[in-house]
Amino acid sequence: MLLEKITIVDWRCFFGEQQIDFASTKEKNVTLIHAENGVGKTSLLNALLWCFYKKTTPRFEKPDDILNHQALREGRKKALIAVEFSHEDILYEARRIFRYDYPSTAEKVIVTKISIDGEQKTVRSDPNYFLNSVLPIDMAGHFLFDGEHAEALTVKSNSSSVSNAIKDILGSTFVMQSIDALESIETNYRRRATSANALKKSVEIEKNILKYEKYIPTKKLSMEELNSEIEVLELERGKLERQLSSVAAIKQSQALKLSTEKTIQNEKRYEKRAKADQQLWLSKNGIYALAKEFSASAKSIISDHNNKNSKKSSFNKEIILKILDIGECVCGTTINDKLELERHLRSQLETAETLELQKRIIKITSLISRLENVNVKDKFAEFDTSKQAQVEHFEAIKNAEISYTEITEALEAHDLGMISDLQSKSTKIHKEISAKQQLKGEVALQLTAAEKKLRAYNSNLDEINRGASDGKRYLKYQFLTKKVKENLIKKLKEETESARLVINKFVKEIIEKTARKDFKVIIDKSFSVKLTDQYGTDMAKSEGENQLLGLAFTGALAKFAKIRKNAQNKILLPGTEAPLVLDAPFGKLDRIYKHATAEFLPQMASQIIVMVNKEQGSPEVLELLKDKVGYQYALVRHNQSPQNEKASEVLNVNDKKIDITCYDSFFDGTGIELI
Amino acid sequence: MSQNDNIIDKTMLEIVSSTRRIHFTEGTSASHRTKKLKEIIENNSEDIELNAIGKDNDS
Repeated sequence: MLLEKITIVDWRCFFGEQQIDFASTKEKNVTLIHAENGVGKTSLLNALLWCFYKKTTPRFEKPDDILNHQALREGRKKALIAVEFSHEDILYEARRIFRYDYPSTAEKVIVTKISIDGEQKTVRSDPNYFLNSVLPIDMAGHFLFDGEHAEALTVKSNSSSVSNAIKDILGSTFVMQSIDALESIETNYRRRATSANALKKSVEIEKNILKYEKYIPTKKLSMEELNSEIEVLELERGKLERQLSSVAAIKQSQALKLSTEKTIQNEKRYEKRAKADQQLWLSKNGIYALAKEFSASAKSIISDHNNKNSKKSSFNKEIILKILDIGECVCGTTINDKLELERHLRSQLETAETLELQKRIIKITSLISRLENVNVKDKFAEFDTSKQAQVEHFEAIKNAEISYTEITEALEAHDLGMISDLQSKSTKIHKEISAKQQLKGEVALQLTAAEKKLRAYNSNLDEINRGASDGKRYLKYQFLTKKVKENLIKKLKEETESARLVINKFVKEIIEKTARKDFKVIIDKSFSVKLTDQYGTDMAKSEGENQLLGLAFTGALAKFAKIRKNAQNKILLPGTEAPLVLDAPFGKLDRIYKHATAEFLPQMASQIIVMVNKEQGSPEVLELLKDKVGYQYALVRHNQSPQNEKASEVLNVNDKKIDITCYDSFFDGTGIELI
Repeated sequence: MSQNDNIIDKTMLEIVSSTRRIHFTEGTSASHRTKKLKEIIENNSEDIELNAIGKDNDS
């Protein structure tokens, strides 16, 4: 089925006659409808549902208030929706009219076949049956729906919605209806068989059966109450977890702050150690640090000294004074006899060095010689390494301190108390859920035991009834009813299980292409949709991830319906190919996910109708969809009132500027403009 | 396949097809569905072999 055109006349917010042509070719299969809140996106979606099935989405307020109020004020009393669609290459029109003065039962749909020359012939079969063979009513909800519907499907607690969606796509609603009806029919036949065979024993058994038939519903009710209580709690916890996962970045910042603090402490310790190493090196090797300079300068002083005293005495002052004192030279000459020698010695005294100075010069010369023989390069390499380490640690401290300041400033902007509050609330709810689940387990055990007893009593009663001729006829009815019911349950279970596996595979393929994390999607046997990491651990879904998962699930349902199009199943309906109408599919997605979704959206079905507001239909999204968009429309709000100080709302698309809110109009309502 | 099995299969298909028709028709009620299903059961149960019921019916 492909939608070709919708004509709306005075229906809800749409005033007068409005039309939309839908893009329906393989190359251009996307129709983009721009609309802000409250202008008529949901009404447009519901116009399709109303025309085909006379139903609306659950959240569509005042579903019976069909006629446009201004049209009514102007005396018009008829609203109409006509949808042209093609099915198996034949063009049809479905038309439903609302008449203000007639009861709602009069709003019957009329389906006509349109020939190439434009001639219209009413289809022979029942129009509802025909429309349901094109797009069954239960499947329609999964093609023509709003964005939030998709999200609601995949929240953790909504396993029954997932299971029902799969059953809807299998076309099994009437199978379930049959099972329910057969259940009550079977009970009725058993009663009749028993009353026809009013033996004393059977009356007693019947009493017990009645007792358990009263008891079991109370337990079932308790189970349902517990289930809904758990569901409410899980929804609440899901909300908290989503809030918490959206503050995951804050948690990460907190962890980063702590690790940065630790880094600063460690780096400071390492820097201190490097400084201590340098001091130790200096105390050991400081002399070598100064060696070159010291040697050169000491050698120069000694050399100057030697040059200045080139004629210095070969003896030191102390020896000369001793010679003069004892009056005898070291060679044995008596000085007193030789005045010239004494004069010579006294003159030597002027240039002679003291013994102390001589010792010092010898010591310094030896030290210089030792210093000159040390490999200074090796010693400095040790120091350089230590110095380099100190510089690196200093740099690390500086950088960590900058990060620390930034993180602290960012964290100061958030309410950390709120996070801890959310966490404690989530833990509390988790405990409540566990307690209720334990209680549910106990009730389930009681229920199973009661059902077992009831089966035993029924079987007992059947045994007695078999012996009585009057009950035989009802026994046959009851037997057949029971067997048909059991077979239907078995077949439905098998089909649903195999559908679950195929749909899981499709969702997985979409998520692998689009999600930024390495997710694994699991639709488990209880039909809960879970995201797990590579180790199989459950992961909390953010709002955006949940929306993406919901869209992937919708895409997978559409694909599954398409591959079952020609399925030959005697029990279930074949699949179908239908347009996907998506209301705000980008609502909670970030830039990257919007990008990924815009890329896979045109592939989700043969025809896509996307409704977006200005925020969701960002230039980037429009650019990505550009090649696939056949038609674009804007829903324009018209007001009879003047603009006064209200801001203008302008939509910029394809270099066109469209006033999406008009004032001083001749009507109050929504108009549709082709872009 | 026993005679009873054949009857069960045939009845099952009739029931599903009838419920489908009722489901897709506007304005039909649950009581109308029950009435229709009962008719199908009663029309098909004539040839049910009661001797075979004993062992089939204890599930």
